[in-house]
Amino acid sequence: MSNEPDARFSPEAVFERHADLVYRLCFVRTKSRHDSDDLLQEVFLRYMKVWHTVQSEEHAKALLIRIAVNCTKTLLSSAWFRKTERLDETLPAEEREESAVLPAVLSLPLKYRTVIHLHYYQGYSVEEIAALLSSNPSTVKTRLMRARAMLKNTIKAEDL
Amino acid sequence: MNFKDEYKNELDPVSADETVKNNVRRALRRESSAPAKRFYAFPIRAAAFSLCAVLLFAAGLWLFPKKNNAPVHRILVEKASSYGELYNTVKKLLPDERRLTRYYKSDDEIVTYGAEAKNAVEESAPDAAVGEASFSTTTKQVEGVDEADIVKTDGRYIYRLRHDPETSSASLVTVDTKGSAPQIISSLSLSTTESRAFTTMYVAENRLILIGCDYSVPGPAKSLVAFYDISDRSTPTLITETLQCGNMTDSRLVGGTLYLLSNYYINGDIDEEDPSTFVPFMECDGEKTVVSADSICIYENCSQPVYTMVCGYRTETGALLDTKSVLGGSYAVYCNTKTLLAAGYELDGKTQLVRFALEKGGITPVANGSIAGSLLNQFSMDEYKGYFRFVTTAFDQSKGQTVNALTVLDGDLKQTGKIDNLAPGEQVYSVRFMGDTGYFVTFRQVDPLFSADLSDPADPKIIGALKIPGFSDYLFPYGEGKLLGIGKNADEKTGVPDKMKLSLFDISDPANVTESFKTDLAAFDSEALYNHKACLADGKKNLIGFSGYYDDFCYYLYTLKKDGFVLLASIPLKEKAECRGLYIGSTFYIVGNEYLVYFDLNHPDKVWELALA
Repeated sequence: MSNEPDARFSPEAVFERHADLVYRLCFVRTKSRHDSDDLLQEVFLRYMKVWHTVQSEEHAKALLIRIAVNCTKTLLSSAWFRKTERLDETLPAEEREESAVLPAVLSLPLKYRTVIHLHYYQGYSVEEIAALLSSNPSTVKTRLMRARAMLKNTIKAEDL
Repeated sequence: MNFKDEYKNELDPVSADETVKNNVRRALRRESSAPAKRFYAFPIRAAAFSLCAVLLFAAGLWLFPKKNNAPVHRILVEKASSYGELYNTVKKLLPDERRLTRYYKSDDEIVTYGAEAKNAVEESAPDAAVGEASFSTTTKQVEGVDEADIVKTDGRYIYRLRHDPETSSASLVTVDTKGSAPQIISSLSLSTTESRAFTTMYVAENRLILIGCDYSVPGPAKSLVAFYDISDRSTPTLITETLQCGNMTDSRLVGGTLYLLSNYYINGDIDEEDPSTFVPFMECDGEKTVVSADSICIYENCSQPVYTMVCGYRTETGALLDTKSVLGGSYAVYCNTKTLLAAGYELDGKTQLVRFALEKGGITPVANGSIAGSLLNQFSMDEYKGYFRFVTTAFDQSKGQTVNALTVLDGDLKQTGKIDNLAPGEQVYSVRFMGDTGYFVTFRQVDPLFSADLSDPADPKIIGALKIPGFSDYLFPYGEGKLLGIGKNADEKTGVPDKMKLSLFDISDPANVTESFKTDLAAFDSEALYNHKACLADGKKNLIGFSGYYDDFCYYLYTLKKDGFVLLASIPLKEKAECRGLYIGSTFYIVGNEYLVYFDLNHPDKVWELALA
């Protein structure tokens, strides 16, 4: 392991590659563009504290995801009694009519939509998601199964 | 339509505005232009945690390529040579003094595992009532086998493992309930960093055990277990702290022994010179001790280089009594006073099983087998009169839908009977085995609660199927002839779950189960739907308690009367944190993270509060 931080994984470099990944995860969890805008900065500032040991792209992504999940957790619990923005206001106008699945995913409970997002959008397996969320695979598996079942009631898709 | 593609298409346009992004870029430039020492001011452990996340990740990505499950021989053959040779290499690399014979710190107690196990006296079950007042204990699957939780009580003191969300630190708070009002007598600060944290605990007589995880480098993720002497309740004193390689799967406390299971993932960086890179190990005071080769067994058709490590620790001293490992990870555990059953990851739609006999701290693998499908949780497994019963869900590729099964295996884990093709298209939501009868709920749109007659291990039979809307996530025995279900209502046509409900089933005639009572709650969700320990279901004291939320976060306390469920109290809670309800005598306590809320069960209208922070 070299002692020099690898500049490929510096916060500025990683931001250019993964700002969207982080933003989308925050958005799915908070359902608010406004909160996601704030969180984007916080996540990368926190990444800055720990980035110098990052050795691979996968590690950088995993770190960002863990930080994003933790940041959104804090936000959601402290803002518990705050009303969340209505869905219409959060989607780009042109997407509203054509949205077939995003509203359904966003209407799932937090833990369900998180695993759906990590599995279908980021492509992580049950075990990888368990490692990311400090959970155990059977819990993640259950959540994924139930989330799919809930989605299946409003979405007809061959891969659900 | 393909969900994955559609989801990606709809989410891809969602991103931050350039203005927002530029603000972040500016902030990052500002922060990074601070002097170089700033990078190194942050604790090594934070870096360690990241590195371990990476190792775990790299392990994960290497081990779980998307579709291909090659048997262990092939995976390790690519990296080193054949597994047989590695195994022999491991044996050759372990000179006698490195075998796990001498483990323990104290001068006068050198433990040779095996020897201590034989001499250990099997202590009585820890849940005997203390003193004259009755009190509730952690909701568990098997009487006499304790399960870890964030809140514990011994009938006088309440122990809470709490977290401070602002500082990410943790502490163990001890509250004395004797006297006119409960008061905090100890608040032990626990060293917690980004790479080390305690997540759960046990209390047994004068011992308190904290369990957590440690991601420090160098090395893989490890499970952390710390034993405290609480003879003086106001001063918990650390006896010993140990690291067990791997991420903790689960634990149980039986008699005077703690059994801790962890999954140790072997990543690609195995070093033939360092067995701890491909064989499980323990670590104490920085010294690593690798387990002996003969304490390792291998699942048949093992597909992944991940070990399930089972360690037995003596509660009184923290000494390691025995350890066994199985090559093949585990995701669920069933444990009673004599047997521990570890359910391993699926391969080809099957769950592998290993049965360990537990005796006086000794752990002995005695059988292995497999069943089709996967288990929902620990309640999907049970042992009764020497036979093991399971309810599983599998995916039938040919029909493109789920299917469920009830399987009975003998002591050698060989199948004696099976009911196949149950509730196709549905999934198991809850299971409870009770002696000769088994109850389980499957659900898609409507919930059949199945009753199975298991009196003949060769011929298990479905004797009843009660179709009701909604589903139960957990089933609890609740007195003679009664089964309590906690779950949710659901739209009968679409199956979309709605608000929570409690059901009381009359199981006095298992072939004709009826739903005697039901109550619908305003709450939409609750920790009790995912974690049985979050639900108090005490048939003897007749109290059902759990937290729930819809608009507000509340603790609900119910009792069962002749005509149905009666809400005794619904206490609004200030904090949306994991909490536990328990009773000591006639006082009920709701133990949150920031507050302890309590009231007299005879006067639930008058509620008091004690700050825990």
